[in-house]
Amino acid sequence: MKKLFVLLLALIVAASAFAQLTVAGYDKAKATFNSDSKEGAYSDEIRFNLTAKDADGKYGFSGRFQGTSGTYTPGVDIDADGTNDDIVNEDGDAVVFAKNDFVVKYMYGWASFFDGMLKLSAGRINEGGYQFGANEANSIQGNLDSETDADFVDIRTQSMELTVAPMAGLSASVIYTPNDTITGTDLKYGVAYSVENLLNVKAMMTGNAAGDILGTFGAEFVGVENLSAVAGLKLDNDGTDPVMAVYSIVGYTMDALFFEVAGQYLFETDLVESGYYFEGNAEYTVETYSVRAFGQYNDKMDLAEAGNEYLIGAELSIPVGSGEFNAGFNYGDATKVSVPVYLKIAF
Amino acid sequence: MRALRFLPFLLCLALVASCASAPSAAGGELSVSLRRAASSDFKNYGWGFSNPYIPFKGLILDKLLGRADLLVLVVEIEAPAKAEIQLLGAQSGQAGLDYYDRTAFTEFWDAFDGYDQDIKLRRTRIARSYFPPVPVKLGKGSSSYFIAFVGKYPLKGPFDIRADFLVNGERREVELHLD
Repeated sequence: MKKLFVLLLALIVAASAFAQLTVAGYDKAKATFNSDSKEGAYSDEIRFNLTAKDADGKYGFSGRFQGTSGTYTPGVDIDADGTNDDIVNEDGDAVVFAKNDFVVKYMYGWASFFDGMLKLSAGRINEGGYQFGANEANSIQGNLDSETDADFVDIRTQSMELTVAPMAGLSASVIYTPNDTITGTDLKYGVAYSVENLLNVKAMMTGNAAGDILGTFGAEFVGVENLSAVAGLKLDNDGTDPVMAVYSIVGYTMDALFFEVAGQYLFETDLVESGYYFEGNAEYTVETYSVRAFGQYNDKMDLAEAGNEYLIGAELSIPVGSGEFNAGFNYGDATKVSVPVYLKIAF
Repeated sequence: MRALRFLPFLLCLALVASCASAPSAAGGELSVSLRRAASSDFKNYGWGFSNPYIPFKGLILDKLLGRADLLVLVVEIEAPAKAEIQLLGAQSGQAGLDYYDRTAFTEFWDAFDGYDQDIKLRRTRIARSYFPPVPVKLGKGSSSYFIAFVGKYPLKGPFDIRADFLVNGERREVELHLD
């Protein structure tokens, strides 16, 4: 932990030599009360971002340090052995009970050549340019995106990425993630193409050791003002068999109002396991507050919050200085009533 | 003399033909103007990490490292007929206050990161409202886009803004003075 802070300080000093330096971050503290279990839970997360590039934008680096505590429930032993020492945070990383696990989420350098037509990134890269996702999201919405369960699109591991952008609107990447042996999973390919005010297309694919193709493809229609309609396909492997899913995300903006619905159907080899998931929300945003109502229905998939078959809720967000206060009310058929409250402060 | 009998018919035909081939009287010329954006222009884009037109304000780091400030303008276009327009570039008249095209503006905000979902939302909002970095095909009617200059806080006028457009293949310069 101390080494990490020293590294952070050294990076800030080094980065200050760059023409354009951006340092930003926040702390978010969240408490949730659940009526069914009559328990309160608390968690905390910290994000610290550092980005620097030269005046011409030809080289630079970007990184994020973050800490996320495990959810702390007073008086409750989370582990079977009562030690509470092997719980995981929201990212699935093991953390010590109720203690922020401060890690480097991503950190990579990059350089661009030939007037931006070629870009090389290396390090723990943060690739997210080849996926679609539900836009309006709070702590339990926005579950649906073009990622497969293999989670290969959101790469935050040691890799090299070579991106070519031969013409406006078109880019293609090859990402190499070194392994002990060369397999189909070492290389990942991404392509994005956009026609202004009409269409955006994104695709990414790789393979697995069994020879299956894992991939995601999506097309977004933006030809009607204020409307975004995405439809796509995902190819994955559930560990034993290849599976396929189709998804769609449709959003519409009407002045201060925003509506979005998103759905997915998963085709399993065993039809009994096939299922669908829907979520939708409506948000009204003005300068001084934002209110949102939302709902989700989960057939057999695990995207919904805490295993609920259905869940409805509403929340209010209010800007507080350089941060935000948010209070909500959720009802799920399994979790019953819960009241999440969080405070986020940008530093 | 016999030909004179057809003269009224020929005159009418010439009149009708000239009406059909003449430019529309309602055509006029495409107008482009600039104005400084008011907070009401982007009030529906949220706040904090998700509104790309409100400068980011931190609690501590701004004081230590300085912070960026934004000069946001609205480009208003009135097109009497179908047209194509491209923004070639813009100058603020001040050193250190630079125009960012949509790609650069998106990258500028990506540097602040934030929640992953905020990044998606912010990118969507920029994509829908910022002047595109490629030629834009417009239908008849009015449309507007944001553009932004990025500099060090606090920005101080006066600003002599100049934006260069390509309207239907012809270069056009639009100026705006702000105190």
